[in-house]
Amino acid sequence: MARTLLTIATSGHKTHQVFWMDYEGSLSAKDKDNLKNRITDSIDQRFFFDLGPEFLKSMENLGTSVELVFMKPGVTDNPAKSFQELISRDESLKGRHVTVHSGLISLPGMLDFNPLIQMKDTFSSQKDFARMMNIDFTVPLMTEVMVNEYDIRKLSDEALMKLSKENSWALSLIEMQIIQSHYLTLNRAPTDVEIEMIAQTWSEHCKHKIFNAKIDYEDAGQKVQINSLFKDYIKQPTYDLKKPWAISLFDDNAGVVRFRDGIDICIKVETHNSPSALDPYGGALTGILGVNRDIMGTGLGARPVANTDVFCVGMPDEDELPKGLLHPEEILKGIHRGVMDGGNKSGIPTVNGAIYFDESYSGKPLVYCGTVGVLPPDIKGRDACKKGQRPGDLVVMVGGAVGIDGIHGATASSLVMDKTTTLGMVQIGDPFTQKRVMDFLITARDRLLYNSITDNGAGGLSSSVGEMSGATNGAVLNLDKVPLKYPGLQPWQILVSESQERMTLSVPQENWADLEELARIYQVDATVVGKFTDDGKFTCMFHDKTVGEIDLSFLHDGLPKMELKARFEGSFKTWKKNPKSKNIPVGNHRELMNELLSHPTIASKEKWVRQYDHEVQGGTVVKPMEGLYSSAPNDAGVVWYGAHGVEGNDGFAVASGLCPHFSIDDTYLMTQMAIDEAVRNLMCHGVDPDKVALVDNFCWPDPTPGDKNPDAEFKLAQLVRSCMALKEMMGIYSMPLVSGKDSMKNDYHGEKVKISVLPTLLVTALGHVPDVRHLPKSQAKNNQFVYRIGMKSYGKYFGHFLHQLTTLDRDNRDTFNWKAIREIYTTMFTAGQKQLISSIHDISEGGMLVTLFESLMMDKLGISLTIPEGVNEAAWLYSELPGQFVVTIDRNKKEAFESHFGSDVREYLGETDTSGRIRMKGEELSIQEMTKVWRKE
Amino acid sequence: MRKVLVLCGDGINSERELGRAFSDHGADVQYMHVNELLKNPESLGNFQLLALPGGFSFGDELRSGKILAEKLRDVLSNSLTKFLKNDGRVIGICNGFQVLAQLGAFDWETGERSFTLAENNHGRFMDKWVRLTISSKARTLSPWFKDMDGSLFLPVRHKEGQIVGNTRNIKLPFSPLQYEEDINGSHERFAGVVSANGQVFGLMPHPEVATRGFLHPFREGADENAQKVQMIFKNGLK
Repeated sequence: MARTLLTIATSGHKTHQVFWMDYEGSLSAKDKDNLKNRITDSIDQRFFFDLGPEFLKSMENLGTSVELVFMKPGVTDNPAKSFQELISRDESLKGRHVTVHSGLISLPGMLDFNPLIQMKDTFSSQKDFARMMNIDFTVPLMTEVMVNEYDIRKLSDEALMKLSKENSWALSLIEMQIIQSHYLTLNRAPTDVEIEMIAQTWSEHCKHKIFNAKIDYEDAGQKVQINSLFKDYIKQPTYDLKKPWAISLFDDNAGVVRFRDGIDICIKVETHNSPSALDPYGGALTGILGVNRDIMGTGLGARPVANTDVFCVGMPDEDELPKGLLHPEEILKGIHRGVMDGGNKSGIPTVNGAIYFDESYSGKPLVYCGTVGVLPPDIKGRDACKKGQRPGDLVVMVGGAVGIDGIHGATASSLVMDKTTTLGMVQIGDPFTQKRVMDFLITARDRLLYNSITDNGAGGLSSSVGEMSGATNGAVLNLDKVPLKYPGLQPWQILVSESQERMTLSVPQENWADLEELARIYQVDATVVGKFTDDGKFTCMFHDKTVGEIDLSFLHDGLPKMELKARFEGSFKTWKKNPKSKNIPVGNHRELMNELLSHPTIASKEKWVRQYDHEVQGGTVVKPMEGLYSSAPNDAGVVWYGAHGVEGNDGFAVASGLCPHFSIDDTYLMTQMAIDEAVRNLMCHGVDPDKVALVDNFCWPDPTPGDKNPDAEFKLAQLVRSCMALKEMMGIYSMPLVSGKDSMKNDYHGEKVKISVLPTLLVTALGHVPDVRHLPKSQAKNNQFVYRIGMKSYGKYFGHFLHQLTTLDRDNRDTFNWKAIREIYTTMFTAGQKQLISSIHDISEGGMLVTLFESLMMDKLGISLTIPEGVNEAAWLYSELPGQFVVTIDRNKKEAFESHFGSDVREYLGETDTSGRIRMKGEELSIQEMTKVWRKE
Repeated sequence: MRKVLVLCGDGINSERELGRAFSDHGADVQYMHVNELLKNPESLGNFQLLALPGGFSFGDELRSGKILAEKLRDVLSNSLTKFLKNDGRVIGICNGFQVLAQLGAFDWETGERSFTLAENNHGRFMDKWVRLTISSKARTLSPWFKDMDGSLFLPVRHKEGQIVGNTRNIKLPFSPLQYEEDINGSHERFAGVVSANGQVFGLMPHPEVATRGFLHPFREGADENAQKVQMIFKNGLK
């Protein structure tokens, strides 16, 4: 093979793109000229071959030394893939074998660099550049393909655990013992293929062992026996609500709801925390693309139509970080870019999200990625939310080839992170390939070319085929038929590799030819890799030799329930003055507002949010930002169904609720508040509260016992209390949980410190909007009346953010009348239908004054506030109570508005004017100045 | 009324809303995968309007629109020449505009490209609604702007939308739309251009998502703006 180095320089840019092209034969001068035109934009780009004088001059122009960054061999290299497709069409290279690798050259320190996935080199002389030419891109793999047997039958407990740890199986001693006795009965040793498959299937990530465990819960002497958190507190209460519109629950990749005829919607939220801690960009990119695939694999395949993202990261001014951890700012930059590329390049609008900052996320960031999909209720008479794989169907893998990337992602996410965490789980996604797959699948679905579909996520083929084979009761996989990115993968690696962009289909034999032809048009790889059977076994073959055979009954039901203890001492934690408080006097509103508005959680997120595409697909009615020139945040995203093929003016809204700061007090309260926040956000945008579905995503510190985890029983009790609150709130609000996920090992173990996340529940709410055309906005207009709506409770400060700033004691013990709050939501919905409300914004972090500021900001309005007699001033202005809103109304609607909302839930605040100031108690807070603080200008 | 071909596949992602903007006015709209069109390039002759939607063709690698343009150039050049000769109309939005620019569709007769779309001067992808001015000459220089003037509000959603002219002093095509404020460093705040005969229209902002008032992020004037945006598509079909 010959090699050519191609360099592209663009006017005004200090970074050059380089491509190494390896090809058979040689290139003539004409070929080179051809290539140059093919690759370069003649208007503002220059192009160099190899290390010629022009290249050297260009390097000199960059600086005395230059830095090269490129992907490690085997890591997905997206520019190279697209480049290769471009040149492989060229006359001069047609029919030849060509491989391409890409890199970037710039001044030292200019380029992003992550040593886990990239290589870096510095060059300063002509001699050096020859080294650049000759970089070796071979993936170092074993040349011999073999299947190992692990004869565990006579091993001691210590030896079993050693084996589990050495191989990153993340299997516990009990699990290893169960496998041992199973193979004693079978009277043979397991192969590596078998034990890897068991490890994947039994991983916390896939099996949710904690949510299915038997738990002895004790709270101040009171004991509760829990059979399964999932069944008792999530599944059963959801079924008990008997919502006719919740049409598919708990047994697919996402829950499906039917809020109207003609179109179904499904929703799923995932986390990708561990990979994002190691490589924020790749971790978040594969996170969003992964949850898109969940939607593509729901029912017979849904179309993703909206993304959401919520990030929890450490404080931006963090300066006591243990060595080896990435700084929160660097993490945020990377995960933001990952979600942006993933969403934008897939053509899915990002309609809602949040960024939350707290020091407890310095060890592991939380990266929640959510997707809403749409699905036709039926396709040519077939129920589109039901899967239908049959014995005899072909197992077809679609999307891409398999490499060593992402091996052990499922098991690694079940391990706590420490310095030795394996790095195989870091990988880069390819949104372009996945978009092609998405287009292909929708067309194949509408032609009913396949019977069933699921995604390849954690655990790769072992999980996707393992799950699907449950319904037919068996499958045979021919691992040698799986296309590989490069040779040298062992059969077990092929089975568990988590290489991205892949889906698994169940295809009737008679449809294969049509499917293959369609895949050719869409330029998507589709390969028959096995067959579904009904012999009760999952069998893996490699070149006609059986390399693994497991009874499905053992694989799926062989694992006994985990048994755990949870202990809780007393219900509430109250605090005296916060030792880290800034000691600002409660009456100093200017300083308090400055601090609140500049808190990174409350401050404007515009610079991040604007970089997401909010409105591709043409249905986004309520976007993250409102107003033409301003940047007022909205509370939910609203999407019009009309953009997705049905008639009507209705749509869906999606919003989130997340308040981990209340976990400091009690996770029961935290859960109530998170649910209320999500629902409250929906209520700002015209949602019918009788058609709301919820999604739970738990991210917890490890609640299982271990040497390094002395308070595991307390953390499990926190989880139990959270689930108890979920159940209670679902009942009161009459809103089912249609989907959910948990991530249970969000701890970092350093040499000296352990950093565990606050127990964090993200609640995502999906609701029906009967008419998207006349929704209230979040921004007030001049000369309007301003009210606060909500239960009145201003005896003492309730909340979190003021506690960090003042000397107030913290006691968030409170009894809220949730039933009454739920009634306010119904009243709010009917008020919206009567178009009584002009603008609405919910009260959350920072309290009413922050909300009021956000409502007045866009048009630089003002208001005079009179603090009523007999209320606690801090509570009235800053409490973060549930169920509250600031609304503005047109003057002529006063009478109708006041008769619609009872005086017990409405409080007149004043009227808007053009002063640009909030005036109270002789003090004036300038909207313009506060805007500057809020926008960090 | 013109029959519309909307191109899709290869990372294009705005085909459905663009198709709807035409079918709202009763047009016969057909969606075709790039590879299907290239399999039978003559089929372009069955249409009188070719629409290239926005998206991230080939992941925006190398340079936005470049790889898809090269792919089309190989097979489609002759059919496109014939299509334009027969009074065919072309619209390219965002990535579709980038493809047309790389293809040289605005300088098709002369064969010398006069501009390109480079990275925004601030270096970022940005989703933002902006105010645009319709050039007073637009109504006479392009059928797409018949009876139109004043201003328009449209969202931009791109990272590479800066119109950059050539160094050889070749005159740039006429720009019917300018950004009211400089948002990306574009040459004379150009937001889009039309070919010399006005048939080929390319722009970075997205009119296809602004055809209804309720899809605007503001309320005053939204319905009027939507009406105006619809005129572009109506004009194109005439």
